[in-house]
Amino acid sequence: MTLNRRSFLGGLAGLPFATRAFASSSWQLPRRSHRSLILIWLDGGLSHLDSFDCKPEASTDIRGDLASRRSAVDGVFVSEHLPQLAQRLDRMALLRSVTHGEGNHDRGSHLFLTGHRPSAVLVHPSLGAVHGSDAKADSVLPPYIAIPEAVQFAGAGFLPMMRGPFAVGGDPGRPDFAVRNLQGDSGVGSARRRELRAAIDAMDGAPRSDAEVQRDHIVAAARRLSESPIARRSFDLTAEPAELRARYGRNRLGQSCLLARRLVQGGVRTVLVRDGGWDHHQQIKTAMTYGFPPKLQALDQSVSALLDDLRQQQLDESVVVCVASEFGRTPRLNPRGGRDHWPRAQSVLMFGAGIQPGVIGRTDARGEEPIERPIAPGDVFATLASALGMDLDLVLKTRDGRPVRLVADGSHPVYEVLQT
Amino acid sequence: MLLATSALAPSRPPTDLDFAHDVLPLLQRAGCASAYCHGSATGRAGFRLSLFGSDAAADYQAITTQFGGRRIDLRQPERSLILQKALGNKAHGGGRRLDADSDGYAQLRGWIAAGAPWHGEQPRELAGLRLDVVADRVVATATFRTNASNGGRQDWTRDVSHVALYSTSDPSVVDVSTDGQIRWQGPGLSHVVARFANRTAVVRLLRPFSAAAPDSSRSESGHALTRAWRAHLRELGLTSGQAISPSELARRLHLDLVGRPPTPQELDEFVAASQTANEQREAIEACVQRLTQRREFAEAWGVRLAQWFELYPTEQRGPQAEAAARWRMALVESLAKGQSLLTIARRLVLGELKRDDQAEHRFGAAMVDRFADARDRAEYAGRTLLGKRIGCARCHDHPSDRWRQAEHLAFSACFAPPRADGAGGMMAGMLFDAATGDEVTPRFLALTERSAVVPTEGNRRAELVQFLLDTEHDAFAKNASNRVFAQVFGRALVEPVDEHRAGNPALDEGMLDVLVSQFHECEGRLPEMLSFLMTCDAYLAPGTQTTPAAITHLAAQPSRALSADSFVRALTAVIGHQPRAALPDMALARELALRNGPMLRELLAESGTTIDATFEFCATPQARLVELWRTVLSRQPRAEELARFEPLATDLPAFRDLAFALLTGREFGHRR
Repeated sequence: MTLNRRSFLGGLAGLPFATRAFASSSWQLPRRSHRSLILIWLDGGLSHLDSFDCKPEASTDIRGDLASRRSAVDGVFVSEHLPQLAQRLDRMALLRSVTHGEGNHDRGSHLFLTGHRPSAVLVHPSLGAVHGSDAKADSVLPPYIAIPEAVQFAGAGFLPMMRGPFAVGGDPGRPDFAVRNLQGDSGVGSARRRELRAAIDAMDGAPRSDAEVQRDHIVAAARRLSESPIARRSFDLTAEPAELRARYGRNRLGQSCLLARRLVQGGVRTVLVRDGGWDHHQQIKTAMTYGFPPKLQALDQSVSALLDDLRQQQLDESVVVCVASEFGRTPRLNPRGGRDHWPRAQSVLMFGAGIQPGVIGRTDARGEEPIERPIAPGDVFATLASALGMDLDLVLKTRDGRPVRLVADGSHPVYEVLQT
Repeated sequence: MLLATSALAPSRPPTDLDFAHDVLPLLQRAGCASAYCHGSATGRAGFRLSLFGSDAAADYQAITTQFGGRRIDLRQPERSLILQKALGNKAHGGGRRLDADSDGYAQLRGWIAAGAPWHGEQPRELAGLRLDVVADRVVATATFRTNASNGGRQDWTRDVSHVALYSTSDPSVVDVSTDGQIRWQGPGLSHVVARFANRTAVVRLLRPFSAAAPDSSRSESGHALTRAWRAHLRELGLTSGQAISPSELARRLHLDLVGRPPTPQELDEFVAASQTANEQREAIEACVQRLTQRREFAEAWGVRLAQWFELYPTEQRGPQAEAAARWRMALVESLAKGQSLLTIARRLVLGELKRDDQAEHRFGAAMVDRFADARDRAEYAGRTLLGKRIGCARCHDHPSDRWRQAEHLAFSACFAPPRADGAGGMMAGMLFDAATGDEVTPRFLALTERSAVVPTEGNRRAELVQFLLDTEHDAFAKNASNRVFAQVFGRALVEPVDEHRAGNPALDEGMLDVLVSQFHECEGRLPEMLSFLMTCDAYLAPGTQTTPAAITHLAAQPSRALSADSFVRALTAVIGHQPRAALPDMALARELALRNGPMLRELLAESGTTIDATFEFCATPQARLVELWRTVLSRQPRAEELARFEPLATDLPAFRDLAFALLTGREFGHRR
C-alpha cells in the first residue's frame, strides 16, 4: 500500500474507507456526470425580503417599499417586480431558509462557491473548477466559463490554475459583443505570425520540462478555441432568433443567460453568470426597480426565459440552474433606505436537471432567521454537486498532498430538492 | 527495554496500560478519531471523539462513561460495544476496523480487562520517539517518563510500532505499510515518518541510482554550497551533466535577478568575462553586484517578496487591495534602499514600513496588522516569517506537527491589538478564549525553551520581533534561506516553503545548514545571498529535462514558465516600449491575449522599438537576424534558423512578424 507522509492527516493512513467514509449515509443519486451547471451569481447580496421571501404582513420598515404578489405556490409571496418568476415558481425549487454567519462579501462568496468556510490555510476550489475535471483534454470549449468575468473564489483554489474559469470578458448585452481576444486579425500578417511561431517552436525541439509541455497544451487549446467554428458559433448570440433574444432581455444579464444556455449546449460543464450591483446599502427600492434595465425586472425576465428555453431545447434534464448570492440583507431598512449585509437568512433558487420543484424552509415573520429547515451554504453546494451527479465523497488533494473533501464535513444535500 | 534511569529510579519499568498512550493512538491509527469519523464536530452515530485525539480526557469519558458506560464491558471485555463495532460484528458505519487476532485488538481488550484505567500505577509522559530500521521494517520506540514513589525519575522505552502511524515522503522510492514494513520501489531518497501521540520521528532511507563514482574533479570546490550539493549527488550516485554555456548563464542570471533577458551588450560583456571557471565566478559576482543595485532588481524582487508575504493583487478587492498595493510598493522601496530581509521582516511586525496615507492607517501600521483577527495575524507571521503552518491548531491540535490548540491561542494573544487604557494612552491587547471566556495568557511558540516566555506588557511587539527572528531557533533564517533558494532554483529544499517541521525534513539538511550559515554571515542581505546561490555549481546545471530524479535532486534545473509579471518585464525590455495593458494571469486567457489580442501586435507596430532599430541599423539580413536572436533569446541563431528565416529580414513588416513569433514562442516564455 502506498502511503504519503501527508496521509497522516486524520489518522487515515492506508485505510480503505478513508476517502469513501459513510458513502451509504450520503444522499446518493445515479451518476449523471455529464450534466452542466449554470450559476447565476447576484454579486453583492440579493435582498431576500425584496425578492423571494416577501413579508407583506410585516411593518413598512421590514417589508420595505416594494409591494409583493402571490406566486404559483400557495402562501408564497414574491416581489411584485418578479411577475414571470411568480408564475413559474411551481417549476422551481426555492430555498428560503439558507443561513450562515459570514457577513463579509469575500467570506460569504468563499462559503457559497466552494462549500467550505474560508480558511487562512488554503483557498478551496469552486464547484466549477472540480466539475470540469473530467472534460476531454481536446475539447474546443473550456469546461468552465465565466460571463463576463469570474467572481473572487469562483476559481481553481488549490487546484491548478488551469481549472479556473475562462472569462469571456465582453458584455453579451452589447451589440458588438465579442469574447475578449477570441478572434485575431485575419490579415496575411496574422497567418504568417502563427506559421512562424509554429516553425520556431518546431526548431526548438521537444519540450524541455513539464511546464513546457503544459504550455504547448495551452497553445493548442487557444488555437482550437480561436479557429474552431464550433467555438465561434457557441459564442455567437446573433445566431439566436431575435424574438428569443428579446424574451431573455436585451441587456447584460439577459444575454449572459442566453449565452450560458448556448455554451452548455456546446458542452461546457459550468457557466458562471455574474451580475453585479446587488449590494444595496442605500435606496434599495430605487436601486432594484430603476435603471437600464431595472435589476429585478432583468432578473425576472432572464431567469424565466432561461427556464422556458431549457425546456424548449430539451436541456432541462441535463442542465442545473442556480440563482444565488453571498448573503441576504438586513430585515430592517437602514436610515438611508437601504439594507445591509445579513447572512442569517437568504433565498436561493434552483431548477433544471435533478431538481424537484418546491418551496423549502421558512423564515420568521421579519425574515431574520429560519424557523423551519435551516440550510447551510455547504448544503446548497452539496445539493448542486449531487444534482450534477458528482461524487459527494470525492477527496481532493492540495498541492502538498493534504486530503480535502469536496463536500465539507457536516454538509449534506437538501434531499427534498433532489429528484430520486 | 530500559533506556535510562536516574539514580533513584526503580529497576523495572511499569508494564500497565494507560489510555492516552496505549488506547488513544490505537483509535487514531484505526481512523476512529478522524474528521470523517467519530472525530467530526458532531461525531458519528452518537459517539464523538476529539479530533485526532487532542483531548484524551474527553475521549476517555466518551468511552468509559457516556452511553451509560455501555461501550465497554469490564466483566466480559470481548463483548464490549467498542470491540464488537471495531470487529464489524455489530452494525458500524466505518466497517471493520480491527482483526480479532491483531495486536491492536489484544491491546484494546487487555485495557478493558484491566478495568479500563485512565493510567496505570503512575502517570507517565511521553518523552521521546525514535524510529529505526530493522531488516525490512521500521521500528518506533517511545520513551516514557514516570515519577517513582521514592522521588526518582524513570525513563523507559516501549516498542509502539503497532500503534504508530507511518508515511513516506516519496512513495516512488519507499513504500511503507500500516504495520511498518518497508518495501523499496526504486532508487532515490525518501524519509519515512512515524507519528505517535504528538511526537514525530523520521528516518532517512537512501538507495543510490548508480554505483559508478561520479566526476570528482570539482569536488574540492571552495564554495560551501557546491560541496554540499556535490556530496548530495555523490551519495545518490547522480551526476549533474554538462554545465550551461556562458550565454545561457547570462540569460538565466538576468531573468532571475531583474526579470528580463540581457541586452546584447550585457550578453557580450558577460561571455567575454567568463572564459574560465574562475573568471566565470567573478563574472557572476560582478553581474549580481551590478544588477542588484538597479531599480529593476527592486521591482522584480518586490513582486517575489510580495508573493512571499501574501500580497496577492488578484485575491483582494476594495480597501484591502489598495493597502496590499501600497505594501508591495513599500517592499520595492525597501529593496531599492538595500534593506536586508531581516530589516524587512522586523518592519513587517513593527510597522516601520508604514507610509503616511489613510488607507494604511485603516489596516494598521504593520503588515501583519492587515488582519483584524489576532489569530489570523499569528498564522500569517507563522507562515511568512517562521515558515510554519500553525493554522490547523486554531480548531484542533495540529495533526502532523506539535502545536496544541492552546499554544495557537496563546501565540495569537501576542498579536492582540492594543487597547485604550482609559487614561489617554494605550495598553497591550487581550485575547479571550471563546470556550471559557477567560483571558488568554500570551506566550510565544515553544520553538526553544527560552523562546516560550510570556511577553511583557510594555513592549510586546519588540519582544515579538526578537522571538520571531531569534537565532536560537533560527526559524526565520531557515525560512528566508529556503524561500530565496526556491526563487532561484525553482524548487525549495523544504517544500512547501511554509511547512518546516520535524515530519517534513529538507531534501538535504546539509545544504540547508550551509544556506543558513550564509544567511547569518551576510546578515540577511539579499544581493549577497543571491551571489552565493548563483556562484554555486548547482546553478549551472542544465535546463534540459532528464529524469524526475535529476530535477528532484537539483542535478538539472527544469525549464519553467515566466510569470505574467516577468513576461511583461521581459517583453518591455526586449521591445523597448511598455505594453499598455496587463496580461491576464490565467494561462489560456494570456495565450489568447498574446495570440489574438492587440497588445503585442500594436507594441511591435509602434515606431522607435528595438526591433525596428535592429532592422534599420544592421546592414545585412543575416546581421539583423543575429541581432534579433541575441536580443530576444540571448543566443546566436542556429544554421537552420538562419536558412529558414533570413528571407524575412529584408522586409520590416515580415521582420516584425518574426519578432512576434519569437516573443510568443516557447523558448522566450521560459527560464531555462
